[in-house]
Amino acid sequence: MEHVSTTSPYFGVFVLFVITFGAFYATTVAARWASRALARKDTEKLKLSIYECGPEVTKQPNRISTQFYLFALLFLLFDVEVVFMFPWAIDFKLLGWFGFVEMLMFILLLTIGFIYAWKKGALEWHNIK
Amino acid sequence: MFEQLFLILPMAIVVMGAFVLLLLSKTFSLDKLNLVAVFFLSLSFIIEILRFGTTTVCYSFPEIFGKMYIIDDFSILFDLMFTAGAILTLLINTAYFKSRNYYNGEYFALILFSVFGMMILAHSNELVTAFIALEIASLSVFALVGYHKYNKVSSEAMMKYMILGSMTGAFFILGTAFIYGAVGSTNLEDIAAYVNVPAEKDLVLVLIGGIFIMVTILFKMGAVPFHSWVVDVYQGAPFPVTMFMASTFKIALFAIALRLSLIDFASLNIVWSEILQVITVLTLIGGSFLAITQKSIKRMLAGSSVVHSGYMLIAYSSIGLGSDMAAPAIMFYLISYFLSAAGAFGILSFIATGSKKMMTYEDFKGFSERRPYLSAMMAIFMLSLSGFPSTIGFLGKFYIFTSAIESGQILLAGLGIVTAFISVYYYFKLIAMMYFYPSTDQQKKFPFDFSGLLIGVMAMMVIWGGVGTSLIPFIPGANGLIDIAKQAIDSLQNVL
Repeated sequence: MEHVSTTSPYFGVFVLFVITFGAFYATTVAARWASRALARKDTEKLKLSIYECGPEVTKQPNRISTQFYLFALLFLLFDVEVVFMFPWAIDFKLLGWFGFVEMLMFILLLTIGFIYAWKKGALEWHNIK
Repeated sequence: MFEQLFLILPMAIVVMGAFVLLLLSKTFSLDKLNLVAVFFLSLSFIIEILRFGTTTVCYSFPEIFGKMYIIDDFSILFDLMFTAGAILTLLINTAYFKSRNYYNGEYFALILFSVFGMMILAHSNELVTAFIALEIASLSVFALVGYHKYNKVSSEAMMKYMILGSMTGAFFILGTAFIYGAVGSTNLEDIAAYVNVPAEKDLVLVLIGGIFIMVTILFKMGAVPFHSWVVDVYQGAPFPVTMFMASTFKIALFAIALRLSLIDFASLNIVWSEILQVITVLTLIGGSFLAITQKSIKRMLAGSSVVHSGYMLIAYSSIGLGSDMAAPAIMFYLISYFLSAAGAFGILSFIATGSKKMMTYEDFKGFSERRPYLSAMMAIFMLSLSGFPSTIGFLGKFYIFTSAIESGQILLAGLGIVTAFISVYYYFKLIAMMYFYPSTDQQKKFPFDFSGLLIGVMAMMVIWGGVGTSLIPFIPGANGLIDIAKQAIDSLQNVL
């Protein structure tokens, strides 16, 4: 068969696009119909529970407080600080006073964040209302 | 050393102000925090206004920052718009949070951090810096959108915006990686030198990378294939935040978009203009449908902000087709949209301070009887947004369509004009509601308010920008503004 040549080279792609839309819609409707027709309609307890690879779902015995999230976040603050301080310390003599002032400013900015977190009470262990 | 420091002073003032506000957020009252924030922003604004037009293109600390931070008239003009937008947002909404019980002191710090991010975005001369700046600005806006954290609509809006925004933010970094793979540098001048010199080079990676970067920018603008968040986010955010997003954050995206397309990918624009034309058509039509169907004024303005992105995209796609007018037209339109949208949202927020109602068209019935001055200002902003002659919005649209016709995109200009006519429906509906219906509420006495005065000044500026000339120094009228826009664009092209 011969190639159909149109003025717009992307016309074929557009037709494909439209057909794909139709096919997608048809598939969705068919899947919905099939699952409705074939599904079991009883309300067994294990069927309705969350899928957990076979065993029955139990409640988690220990609850982890969301406070750990804040501590992890604050840990990140100092972690990143140290990551930047190591390379600076190695090249300390090369960078000289300028590097020193830069590092002081960097620490100052992080300290402001830390003071803010402290004032907000992120370091105290309390229940969030 | 100190000269170099002076170059980054306006940005440093804003970020210092943000830190000060962060530390004071627990101790100071709302009014004092507002004053402190406005003080820092106006200090930065004054320095920038003194600097505009007097500085040549230069880099701050070129040997340390590696030419990442550029200072030219283009970025200074954008800085002026960001700081002015933030100042207006803060001054008009002084009373808004007093009437809401979810106020926290961090609001001001977040606004200043966001302005800081936008300022770096306008100044950035390197793709990774631009990405970081964009993320600083967006993260603050995410937090501001979900500011009312016990409200379902607000939280939903924040979630939607944050997930979609972070995902599209990743496209920017992916595009940067592609471009780095081809060029070997993320500095804009190196990319421009690579792209603009005709030689037998493989530009496929640069093209793909540029398209990825454009996806991010178009998403944040709210162009149509990526518009699904706009209406919900604008509705869910508190009024001051909606005003900040619509007037200020939208401008910031055009800062990087213009810099990229005017210097960086100047010779590749012709390839993208076809994609941009399709997106423009979709944005204009889709945005109109979005705006027509809304009952709430806030949602209508959100939908119409999509249409306004479409107008600017008309000119943006004509840049590649060789129109000299296009880039200044976008700058002028940004200023005009900034004034009109900030004014319209300002009035809404000003009214919402008193009542907690959803602002629908019905609520504005007989508004002119109750508050004649405020409704006159609202009518002016609506006329300007729809592009009525003798307002700044008309001139903005005029320049945009001129640039489109100049570059031969007559159909696109025609579509823009048709969309402008459609927009008359949803803007004039509000004017009709205000003036042609009897009032349902009998309250007539209102105390004098500084915010109202400020909105009045903005309404005067909208008219002045439409008819005025530069008879009065420092307050440029229509022809003065387009000269400023041209000067800013020229400073961009002097770099090469």
